[in-house]
Amino acid sequence: MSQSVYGARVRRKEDPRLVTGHGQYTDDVQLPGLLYAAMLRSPHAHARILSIDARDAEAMPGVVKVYTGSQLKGLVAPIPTAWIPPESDLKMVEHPVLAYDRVRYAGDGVAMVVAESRALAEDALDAIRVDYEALPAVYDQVRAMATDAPQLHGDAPGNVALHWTVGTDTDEVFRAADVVVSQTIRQQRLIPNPMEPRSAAALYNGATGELTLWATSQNPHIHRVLVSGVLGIPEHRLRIVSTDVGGGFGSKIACYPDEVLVAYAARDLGVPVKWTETRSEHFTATSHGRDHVDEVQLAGTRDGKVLAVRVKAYANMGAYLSTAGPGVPTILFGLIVNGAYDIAHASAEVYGVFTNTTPVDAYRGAGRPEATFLIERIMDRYAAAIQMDPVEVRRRNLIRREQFPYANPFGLSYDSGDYHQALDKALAMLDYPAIRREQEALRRQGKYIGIGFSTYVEMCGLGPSQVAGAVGFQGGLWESAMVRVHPGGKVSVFTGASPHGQGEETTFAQIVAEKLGLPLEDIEVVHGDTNRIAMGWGTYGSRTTAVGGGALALAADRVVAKAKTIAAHMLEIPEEAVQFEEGRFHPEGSRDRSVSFQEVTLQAYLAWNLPAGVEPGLEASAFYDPTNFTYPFGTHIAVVSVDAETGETRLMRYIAVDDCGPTINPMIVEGQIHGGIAQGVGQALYEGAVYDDDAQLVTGSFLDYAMPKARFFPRIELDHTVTPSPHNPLGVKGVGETGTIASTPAVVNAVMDALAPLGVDDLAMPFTPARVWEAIQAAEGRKGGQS
Amino acid sequence: MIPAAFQYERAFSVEEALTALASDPDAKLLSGGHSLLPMMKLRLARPTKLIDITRIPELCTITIESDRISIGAAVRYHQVAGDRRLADVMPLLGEAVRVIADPQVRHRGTIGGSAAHADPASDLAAVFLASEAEFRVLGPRGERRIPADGWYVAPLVTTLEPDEMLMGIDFPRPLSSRQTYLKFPHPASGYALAGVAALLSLDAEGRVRKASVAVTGAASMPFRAEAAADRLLGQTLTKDVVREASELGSGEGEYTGDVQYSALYRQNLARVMIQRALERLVQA
Repeated sequence: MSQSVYGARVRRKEDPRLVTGHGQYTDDVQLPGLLYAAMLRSPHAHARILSIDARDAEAMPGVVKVYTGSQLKGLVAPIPTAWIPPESDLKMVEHPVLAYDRVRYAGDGVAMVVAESRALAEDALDAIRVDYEALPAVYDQVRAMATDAPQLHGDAPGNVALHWTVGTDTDEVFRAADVVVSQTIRQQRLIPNPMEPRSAAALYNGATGELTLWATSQNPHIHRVLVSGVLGIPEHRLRIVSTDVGGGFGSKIACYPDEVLVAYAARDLGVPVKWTETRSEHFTATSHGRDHVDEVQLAGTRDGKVLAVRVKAYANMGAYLSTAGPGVPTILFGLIVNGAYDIAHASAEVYGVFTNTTPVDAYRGAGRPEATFLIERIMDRYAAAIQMDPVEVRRRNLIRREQFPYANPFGLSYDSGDYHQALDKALAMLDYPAIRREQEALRRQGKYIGIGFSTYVEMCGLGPSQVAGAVGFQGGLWESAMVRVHPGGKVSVFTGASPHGQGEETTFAQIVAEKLGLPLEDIEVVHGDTNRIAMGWGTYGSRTTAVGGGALALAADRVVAKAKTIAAHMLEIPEEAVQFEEGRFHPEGSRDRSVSFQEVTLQAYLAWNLPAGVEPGLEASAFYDPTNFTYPFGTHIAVVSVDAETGETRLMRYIAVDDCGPTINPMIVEGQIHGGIAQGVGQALYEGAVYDDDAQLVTGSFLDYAMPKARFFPRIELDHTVTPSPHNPLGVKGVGETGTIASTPAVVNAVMDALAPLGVDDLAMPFTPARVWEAIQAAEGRKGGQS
Repeated sequence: MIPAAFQYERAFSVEEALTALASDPDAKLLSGGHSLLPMMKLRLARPTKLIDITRIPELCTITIESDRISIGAAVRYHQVAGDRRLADVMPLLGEAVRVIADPQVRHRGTIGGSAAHADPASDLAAVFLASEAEFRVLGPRGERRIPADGWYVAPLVTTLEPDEMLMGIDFPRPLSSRQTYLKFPHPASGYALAGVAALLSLDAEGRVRKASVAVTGAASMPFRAEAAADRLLGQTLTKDVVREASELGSGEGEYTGDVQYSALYRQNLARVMIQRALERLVQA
């Protein structure tokens, strides 16, 4: 071990398996006698179910059984939510696994067919006759709160799912302020679209009563808790396996009716059952993200000091409460609406609203992109109002290095940072004065480019668990790890985190390789199987390396400590005199005599000659609860050109300077940032779920729903600063969501900057060519009218 | 996601294909399958039988003669894109084919399949119309030749009869030497939100001797922009002439908006793309 792998651009250990088709995804599960399920989903956004006739379907050859909601009512408990924000008056409405009296969104499950092949199951769906009485539907959360709006749930009057307020009183500051800027902003609904659709397969062992459920889950242990409760299968007889999961972006956190139904059928029929959603189903039956209507206000002085910010948010919850749904527009949003700025007064008021749409849950960033978008947009508005450069306004309000730990107005304690340093670095990469000159010159030729900034901070790696409880998360937010050294010196690492594309099979191996002085290939990271790993909370909210990596570092340290004790005994020197370097133990200051980590390991297992009181074996566990959140930050800059004739926006440059503390694998970090940026740009320019007046999803396929594509992007220019977090053993900050959080406002600010000379001052995302062109036309019309 | 049950049959000759087609009114010809199969998977199409015509030799050839270019109906996009002779005599075709979808689709998709499917946003529709292509059709009543103008009836509807088969597409020669296809892809689907095929011949003085412009994607049907061509004829290609021709040409489409792209926007885009296509030809 001459060169450390820690901090190195090591290629991902998981990639050869994944890129050669050897991944073990849920849909790859093959079992003797496997049956296939297909779901009948409501074509109506809101309707009463008058009758369901499945006799023809059940009579079809190869069809084993058809399940309906009324059959399962009472046998399968409703799907619960797992986030109950305190003092939010959350209405925990019933979410049946199959609708039995009323469907509440187009895509709501009505029946499940189990058949001998997937084709037969799909054929049988056509043969089920459902008699619906269509009801008026509402998809917009603001309209859903109107007194005459269709009501979704008897126990949620006015369709209000929750009402939550947080922060300080800002009224006085706003009354006295010289400058107040306001804007109403719609942050459109997004459809996650990971590459792998959701899937579930279940096998019931009648002899032991054990049920194995393969599921596309970001958090198999949370799934175990929830499925155990819904189906009444005790946890020690329920095994959840999520070995390879092809991306989630939050959409695979939730416990959905589908996996519960598959598990139920496998137990009921005594035969394994598998279901995989189609891409069309994904569009309507997998949780969506964002969907806010926000009123944001900022109060400031004429010389650029922000005094207060306040937000009133209407968050669309969809038809039911998804697993983490209620926490997203409250805790993960409201507590950080001041962004990276030193603002003394801030408040947020949030309405969560039921509508006849697919339930909304976490989507990459979950609440923090929404908050960041508001503050970054309103900072630009403020800059325009006081005629100050948007960079200068940011510079004057960014939290200063000496203010850390910084207590924000909502009681969060930002850990560490030098926000100005990141800003300066990004500006230097851009050459700001030069690009402004170029912008001026191009404008004179009738060409429009724009420069947009986002000086963001976000909170991730949530914990400690005491805080999780205080904010209503119905679980802990610690993480588990176990390092098991095998007699031959190879190592299995077991993590309760559940990576599904983020590369921790490599990153975690790098941590252990560093601690134990072993080569990377001697370390295998095991995750995603509740029978192999200890209780843990999974992967979401950029927590895996900060919290799971923290647990792993502690466990590895414990292994080294025990090995050291044994080595001292073998070397016949006091433990304090043992030094561990490059995989060998030797007396301090002398390398003449030494024992290797492998020799010590073998002795630990042979146990022929262990020091008194030392148990055989070499493994250690840790359950690590972080002391606080981590707060990655940085500056993103987008430069765009807008074609005024077609309305097309092109990204010319994208600069990102991020700080996620020390990096364990810079290549993986950069990959996370690249992907995150692309996803955030997707919201700014391309993506958006559109419903029609009957609450039918119009953008229900890739023909209409525009995902960002590689050809839309320039080379992304990255750099970083390094400010360790004091809140975990590795000093790392999460980086899985920063790109998504930062990039949407950077690009939107850039487009608005480009359009400013044309008189466009407000535009709703996504900035499709048509929207931009129509806004330009409207602005020209206004100008024409004035002159 | 899985089509309803169907039979599959491979035809090795034109006669076999036509016989099979005649024997089953719900049979469909299968070429590249890149439009038909997705529709079947969504169960929007439920043919009882697919007759694969991609192994019929005369449908798979590209012939270049002095007075015409003939492309067999089952010639795949990638064959067209890679054909050097075609690149010399009709660069427009390769240019258009190379911006269709992605490499996988171009590897399977066929010229005739695109013509017969008649998606109103198909890139080739503009090329067929602008280059005055002729569709060779064979059926129980013999052979017919249908000019491109008479081919497209409505979205996904052509004048091809259910018992007929498209044999190939002929382009008359000589074609105007200045030719281009310019596309503004839909950000989601990659289909043309507006695609313009334009061909121009100039005389020795730089005046337009012949002009042909067609637009796909923008309007509810692909169309020939006759008024644009008329405005160009006999003219020197000044900025004003090009601008006026684009304005007139885009005015000939019938535009219908959807939730994302309004009729007004589509017409504007057609205008801008005609203008840019013509500007490109001025520089050529």
